Amino acid sequence: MQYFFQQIVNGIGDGAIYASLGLALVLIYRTTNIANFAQGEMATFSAYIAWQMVDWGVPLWWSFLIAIAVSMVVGVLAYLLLVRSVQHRDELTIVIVTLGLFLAFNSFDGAMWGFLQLSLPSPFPEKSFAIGALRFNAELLGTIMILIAISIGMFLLLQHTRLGTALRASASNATSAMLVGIPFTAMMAIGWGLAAGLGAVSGLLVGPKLTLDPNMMGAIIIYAFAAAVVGGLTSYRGAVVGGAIVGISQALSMAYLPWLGSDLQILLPLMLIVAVLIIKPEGLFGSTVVIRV
Amino acid sequence: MSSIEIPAMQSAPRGEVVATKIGVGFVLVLILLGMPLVIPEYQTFQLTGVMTYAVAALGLNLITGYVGQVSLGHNAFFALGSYAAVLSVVYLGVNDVVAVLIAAVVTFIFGVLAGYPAKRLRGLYLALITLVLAVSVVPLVKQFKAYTGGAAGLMVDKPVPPAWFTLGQDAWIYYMVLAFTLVIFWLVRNFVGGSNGRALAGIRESELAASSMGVDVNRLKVIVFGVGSMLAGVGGALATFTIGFIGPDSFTLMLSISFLAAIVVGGLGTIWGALVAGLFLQFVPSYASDLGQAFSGAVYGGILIACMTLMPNGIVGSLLKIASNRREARKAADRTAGKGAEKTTVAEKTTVKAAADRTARAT
Repeated sequence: MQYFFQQIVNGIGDGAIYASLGLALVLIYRTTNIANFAQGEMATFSAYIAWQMVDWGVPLWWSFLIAIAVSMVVGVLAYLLLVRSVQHRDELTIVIVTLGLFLAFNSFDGAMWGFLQLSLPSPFPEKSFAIGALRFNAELLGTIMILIAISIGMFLLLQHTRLGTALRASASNATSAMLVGIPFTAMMAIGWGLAAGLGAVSGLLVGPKLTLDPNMMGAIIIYAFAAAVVGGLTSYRGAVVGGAIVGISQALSMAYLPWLGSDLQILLPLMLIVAVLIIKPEGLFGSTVVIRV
Repeated sequence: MSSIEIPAMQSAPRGEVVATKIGVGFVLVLILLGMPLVIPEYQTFQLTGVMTYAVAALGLNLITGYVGQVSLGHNAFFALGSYAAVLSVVYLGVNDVVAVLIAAVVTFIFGVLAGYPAKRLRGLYLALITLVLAVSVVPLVKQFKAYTGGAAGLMVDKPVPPAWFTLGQDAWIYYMVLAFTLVIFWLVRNFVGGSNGRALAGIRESELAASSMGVDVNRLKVIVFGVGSMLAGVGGALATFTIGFIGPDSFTLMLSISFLAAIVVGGLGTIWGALVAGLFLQFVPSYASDLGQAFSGAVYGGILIACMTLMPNGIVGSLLKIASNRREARKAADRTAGKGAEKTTVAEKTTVKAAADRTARAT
C-alpha cells in the first residue's frame, strides 16, 4: 500500500511538469484559439538559454530568470512576426505554421548547441524528507510548489488585474474589446509571451531530470497535450487536474504494468487523448463550443 | 451545381482544352515509359522514389487538400502499408504485386476505422488524434521486434525481374511502380474530376452548405480518409520494395510533417501538386541533409511557413491560377471587342471567375 501511495506522489511530481506546459497550451488556445504544436520546442529552447547562461558563469537562479525572460520576449516576437498574419486563417494553415515553428526551433537548437546531450544543473538540493513511510525529495516538493505558485499567480493576474481583464476580454470578444479601447494585438502578444514563460518553466524543470538535447520535449509535449485535452483545452483548472491524472496514471502503469515495456508507456497518454476526444471532446472542465450557423 | 456552368465554357474552346490535356498526358506517359532506356540506373531508382512518394502525397492531398482535414498520421499508414507488404511476402510467400494489393486493403480498412472518429472531429482535434497515430508507430514497431526487426529494421528482397527482361532490376521496379502510379493517378483524377470532386470542395468550404445540397458529408469524409490512407499504404509498400529496407526511423512524425510540407509546396487540392510533392520529398531531404543535420529541419520549417504565408496555393495552384486569370482576361477582351452589344455585368464576371477557380482546383 505504501508503494502505491509513493507512486501516486511521484506521479503528481511529473504531473506538475505536464500541467505547467499544459497551462501554456491552454493559455494560447484561449487567447488566440491556436494549438501551439511548437510549445515543447520553445520550452527546449528556454532550457538551452539557461544552460548557456550557466555555462557563461551566471548564477543558477539568475540563469533561470534570464531564460524565462528571454523566452517571453521570443514568444511575443513569434506572435508578432509570424502567428499574427495567419491567426484568422483556417485551421489547416494555423496547424501547418505551428509545425513550421516546431521545426524552426528544433533545428535552431541543433544548429546552435549541437545534437549531443548536455546536462542542466538542478535548482533543488539533493535532500529528501520522509512523512510517515512516504519519501518526498526536494525536487518533487519544489516542482509542486512552483506549480502552485504559477497557478495562484495566473489566477490573480487573470481575475484581479486590469491587464488580466483586458486579456480575457480580447479573447472572448475581440471586436467589443477593441471598441472599449483594449489594444487587441498587444493583448494577443502578451498572451503568447506569458505562455512562452510558462513553457520555459516546464523546460527548466524537465532539463535537469532528463538530459538536454533538441528533442528533449518530444514526449513531454504529448503528455502536456494529454493533460490539456483531458482538462478540456479551455480550462486552466482542467490543465492542472489533467496533468495530475496523466502523471499519476503514468507512474501507476510503470509500476504495475511492467510488461508494457518502456516503448509502449507512451501509448497510455495517447489512449487518454483518444478516449477523451471520442467520448467527451469538451473534456472534464471544458465548455461546450456552440457554433452559430 | 450545373447552374454555375456558363455556356461559353462548354463550347469549342473547352473541347480544345480537353484534347490538349489528353495529348499532354499521352506524351508524358511516353516519356515516362522511355526514361529507363536513356537515364542511368541510379536516376531510374530516384525517379521510382519520386513516384512512390507522389502516390502517398496524393493520398494526403485527398484528405487535407480536397476535404480540408488536417492529418498528421500519414506516416502511420505509410508504415502500416510497408510492413503489411513486407510481412505478407515473408509469411504468406505472395508475389510482390499481390503484397502491394494486400497492403492497400489493410491500410484502407485501418483508414476507414481511423476515419470514423475523424468524421466527428474538425481541425485542431483531428490534428491531435492523428498526432496520436503518428507517434504510436515507432514504439509499436519496436515492441513487435520479432516480426519487424525492431529498431534495427529488416532487409527486404527487392522484386526480381523475369528472365526476358534485360534492362536490370531498377528498371523492372520502375515499371512496376509506374504501372501502379499511372492507374492510381488516373482513378483519383476521375474521382475528383466529377461530382465527387465538387462535393469534396463543398465539404471543405462549408459542411453545412454541402449537406443541405444533399452531400452525405460523413460518408464521404470516411471514404476519403480510407482512400487517402490506402494510397499512403500503397506508396509505403512500393517505396519499401524500391529501397529494399524497412526500419522505424523512416516512419517518424517527421515523415508526416514532410508530407504536409510537400503537398503545401506542390499545391493543396491539385493532382499535379502531388507529383511536385513527390519530387520535393525525393530530392530536398537529401540535399538539405548534405548541409548538416540541423539544416533539413530548418528547410522544412522555413518552407512550411513561407508557403503558408506567401504562397498558399503552392506551385501548381499558383500556376493554375495564373493560367485561369489569363484565360478569363482573354475571354473578357474577346467579349468586349467582338460583340459590343453583349452585357458583361459584374455579377457575370464573378461567376466566370468562380467557375474558373473551381475547374482550376479540380484539375
